[in-house]
Amino acid sequence: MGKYTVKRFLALIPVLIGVSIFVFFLIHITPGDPAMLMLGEQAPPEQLETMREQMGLNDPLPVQYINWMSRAVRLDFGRSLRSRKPVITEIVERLPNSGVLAVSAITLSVIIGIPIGVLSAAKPNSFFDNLFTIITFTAVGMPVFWQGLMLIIIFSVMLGWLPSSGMMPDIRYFILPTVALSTVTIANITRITRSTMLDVLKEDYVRTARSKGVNENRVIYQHALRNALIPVVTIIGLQFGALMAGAVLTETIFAWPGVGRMVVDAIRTKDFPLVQGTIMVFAIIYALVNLIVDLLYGLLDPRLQTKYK
Amino acid sequence: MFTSKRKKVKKLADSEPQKSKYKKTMKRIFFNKKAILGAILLIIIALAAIFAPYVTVHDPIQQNVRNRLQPPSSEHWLGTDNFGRDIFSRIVYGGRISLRIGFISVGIAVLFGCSMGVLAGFYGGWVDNIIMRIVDIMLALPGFLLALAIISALGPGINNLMIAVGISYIPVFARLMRSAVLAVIEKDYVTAARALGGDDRQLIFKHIIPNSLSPIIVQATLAMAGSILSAAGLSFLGLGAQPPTPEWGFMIASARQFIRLSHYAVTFSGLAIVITVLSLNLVGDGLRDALDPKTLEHQ
Repeated sequence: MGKYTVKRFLALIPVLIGVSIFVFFLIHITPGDPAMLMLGEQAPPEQLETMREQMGLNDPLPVQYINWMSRAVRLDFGRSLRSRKPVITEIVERLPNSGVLAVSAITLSVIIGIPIGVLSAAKPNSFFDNLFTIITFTAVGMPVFWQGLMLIIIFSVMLGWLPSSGMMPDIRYFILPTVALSTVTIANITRITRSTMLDVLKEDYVRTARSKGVNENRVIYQHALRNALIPVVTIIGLQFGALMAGAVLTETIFAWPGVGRMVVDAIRTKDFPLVQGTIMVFAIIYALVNLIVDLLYGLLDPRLQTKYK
Repeated sequence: MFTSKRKKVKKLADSEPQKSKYKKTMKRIFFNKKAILGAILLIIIALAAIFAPYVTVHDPIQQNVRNRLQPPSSEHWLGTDNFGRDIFSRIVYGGRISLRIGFISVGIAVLFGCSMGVLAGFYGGWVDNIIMRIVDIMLALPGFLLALAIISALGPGINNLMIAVGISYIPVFARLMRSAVLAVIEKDYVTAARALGGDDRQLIFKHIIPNSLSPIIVQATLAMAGSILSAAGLSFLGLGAQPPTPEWGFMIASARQFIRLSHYAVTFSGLAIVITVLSLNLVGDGLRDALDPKTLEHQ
């Protein structure tokens, strides 16, 4: 297991180098001169030339990349063009806000998704099962940003129960963003739980338990659920990606001071160092979460541990 | 008389299992409630989009400020937006844009993804290694964020939007096609074709691609739903369609600040996205059930 962990960890390095090359070149794909992008169209030519020199734009591309990269490994992505603060400071300031939202959305998804999935699988094709199949199917097709706006229209404009945007240390500010962000995850977790439960319920040990005369509830909630939960853990990991994407839109809708909203603002204002840094950090977080989920999967399923040795 | 009988026997022996398999598949598609419901919805949406000028009475772009933010009425079925434009017309014309975005971005993804997958699966070795490492790098960011990053560099606009969303779906098809090729390449008929002297191109186009088609069709349908959602999201952020284009995501964004006065533009444009995505998902899921009998158990 230890060896496997190290191996998986090392496998991340080439991928992250690849992402860094992509992120580095983003500013070079952009039509126009990067120095002009930084200083604005009206900048005098001397200033542009100084900027080019300062940014190292006159060096050959590989040299530029290596310079950028050697700073990036120390998490130095330069300074934001707007606020003039270091990019990493900007990110670190907002990361906890996004984290709180992500954790509450995942928690809500697990609390709601798994029980519904299990209940649906316990009585397949019942009224309850069909109802939730329709609901989850529709939920997956709902754009996060639209759903967020509809929640605002209903709960803050029409009913006036909840605040429409902002983040305050008050649970009411958390409800709408969490619900909006978790809907798709809830739907996906429900679907996966249902289908793995149905698979597990066909296994021999379930039949054995039933034929022994074990109470049906015990069969479902003790024998089957435990085994069905293993794939669900991986799905929670995969959902993290959808959650990051959803966070960008959700944070924009609810004026949530997180990294997602920051990157959208940075793209709009062409604040390239900030965009580059944030995307790099997104990739690192995503890679680490997937790694953790993979390792967790190995821990939960002893059958896999022999494979990894 | 003899010959005709023999013909019959031969026909039975040769083509019957093939034909019945095809028939069975068609039957399964036809009797799949999900696929049929989805297909009907999709046909209605597509027809409305194609015949938009005949379906709508009002111009989708023409502004009429005196008539702004009206609730639904017999004149304006779904009300009017903040510039007094008919929401129904804009939604119908918006269908053209969303369907086009879906088709073209999935087209880009299928073209490049499948080519990469075929090359990787068919040639293996270092070709496979390089292609799959590129795919790994593309998967290092969730699809929507990859598209966001690309469009941040390319700049806003519908064409860039389609490119960005298309690229973000390449890994899906590359992986799918690669595994499909690996599954087919071991089959006896491929070995036989090779033994008969078929060159690589013939093998790929005549045997491997036709036999890997059904998972690709299923995935393409589902990816179209996903890419319409991503594109709407990016347009909502102001990175896709530019005014006055009636694009659904952008319509929601521009009507957003008026939700306290009138929510109809937001509500109905969103519903249009939901229905389109839902119908594509229904067709995709239904096709998967019909083409892959293994999944039938879960119905």
